[in-house]
Amino acid sequence: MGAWLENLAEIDWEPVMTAGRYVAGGLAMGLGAIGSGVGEGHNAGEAVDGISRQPAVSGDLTRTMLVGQAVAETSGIFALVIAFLLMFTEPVPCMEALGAYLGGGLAMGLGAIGSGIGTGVAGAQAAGSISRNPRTRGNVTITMLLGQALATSPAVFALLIAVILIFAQGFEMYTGNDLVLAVSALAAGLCIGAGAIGPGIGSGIAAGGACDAAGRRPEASTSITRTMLVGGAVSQSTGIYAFVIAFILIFFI
Amino acid sequence: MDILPDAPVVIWGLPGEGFNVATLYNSWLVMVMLVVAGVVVTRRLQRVPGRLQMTFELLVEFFDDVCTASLGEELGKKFVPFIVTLFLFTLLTSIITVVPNFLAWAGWPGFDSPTQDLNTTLSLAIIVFFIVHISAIRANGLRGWLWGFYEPDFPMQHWAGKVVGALFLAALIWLSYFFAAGYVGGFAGMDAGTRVALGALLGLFLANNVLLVIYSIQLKRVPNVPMAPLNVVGELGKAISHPFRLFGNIFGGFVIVIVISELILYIGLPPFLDLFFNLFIALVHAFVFTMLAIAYTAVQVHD
Repeated sequence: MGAWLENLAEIDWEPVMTAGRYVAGGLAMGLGAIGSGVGEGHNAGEAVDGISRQPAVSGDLTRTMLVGQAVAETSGIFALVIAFLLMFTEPVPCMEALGAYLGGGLAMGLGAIGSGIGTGVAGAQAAGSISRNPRTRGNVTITMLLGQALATSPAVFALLIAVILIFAQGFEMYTGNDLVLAVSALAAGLCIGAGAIGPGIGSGIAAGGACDAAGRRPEASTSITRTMLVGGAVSQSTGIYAFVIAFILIFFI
Repeated sequence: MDILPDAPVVIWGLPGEGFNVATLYNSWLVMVMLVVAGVVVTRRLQRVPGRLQMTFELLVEFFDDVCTASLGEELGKKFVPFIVTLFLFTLLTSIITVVPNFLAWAGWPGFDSPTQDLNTTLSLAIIVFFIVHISAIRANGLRGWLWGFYEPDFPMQHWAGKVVGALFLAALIWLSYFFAAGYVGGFAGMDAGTRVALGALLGLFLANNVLLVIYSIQLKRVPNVPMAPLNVVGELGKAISHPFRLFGNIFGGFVIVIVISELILYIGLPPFLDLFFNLFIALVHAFVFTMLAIAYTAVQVHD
């Protein structure tokens, strides 16, 4: 057990680190593409269904669908940015940086799944709602945008952790070959990545319900929006716990 | 590829690490533009509005409707100027990046969005955070605001309420004693800064407990003590996600435009990427930032 641990400092980390950066970039974008893809497809399906019910508002529905999809793309775009950063920044090669980069890739890749699906669900419900009651389009679109912004927050937390892990060497962190630090960086990425899946989907469901409700009862949209924001924030509290633990894993280990 | 911001520049010998001059100058530029626009548009107001006046009236009217609908007639009217300014500032600082740097010869650092610098969005979010909580205290009083963190509460009349209330009270007294004793016991071993910081925290905690007991007797309701940490974390979570959402989207758009343009050698696509990310996405997220400021205030004020 002890022998290879002592030899860690003598390994040439240069090629390992380069390989690790590419693996991390692939993980970030590959996993990060899942959520947005599913969500946007769901959105489009609901919009098509709505057009079959109300062919007269197909223009409105297409516009709402495109806006919803553009926002649902956000988490996938975050993943793309992180993938580029992971592939094209060059840290001092060492074991801790390897852990941090793999952690960053996992954080953003996994963290984008929930938000992508959630924002897609919200957009889909908004399209269905508009097809049932086209006059409430303005109201529903605002509710949808707010709800989608709420559902993106877990991905934003994951983005934040990934950025911290990538640029940690700027703060003189992750410059050595300590196994514990390397694994704790990886664990921080896993923690926020996996922890963001549920809250992303959950607050997306809350936002979808609010879009549906805003279409049925536009006069109550103020209290609908309020309840959605509160409920979504509560469903995100588990994501915030994961965020706190990831922070502790990075800064206090 | 020039993704990371330039090194900070120290100007006028001000203390600190220095400033990101692109952020600083562009924020000032947007502020000047807003002030000039405010003066020009309102200088000759007419009963039958012209095109310029019409545009701005539509904007103000829209936010007026939203504010009065979610904050009530009186508070909403007070909020409109702040909200419209917040929207115009976030919007203009986000889309200013589409302007090419035609002033490079004069030493202008470039029209980078100030909102792709976390410092800008963080400052805006801190302003919003304080406005939210101060207006909550002004609307509901200290009691209503503090009690909001201990909800859902339950009535004291029921016997179960009395038992649970007594348990919470005992736990609070024990915690107060525990922390106070720990502070006094460790006082000698701390340096001055830690003493002040921990003392302030302890003072706030004790004041909170005293107020809680008083309010509980006044309202004849039992505060839900275990919910308080969760509510506080929830508020902090809002305050954290608010600036990072705008920053993440604007910075992400900026990086994507640069990276993809670089990959395709700046042929054909860049203007459309710019249109989508730096105009459309920026507009959506400036709007979302502003609407969330209203929604957060509404949630706190209506507690």
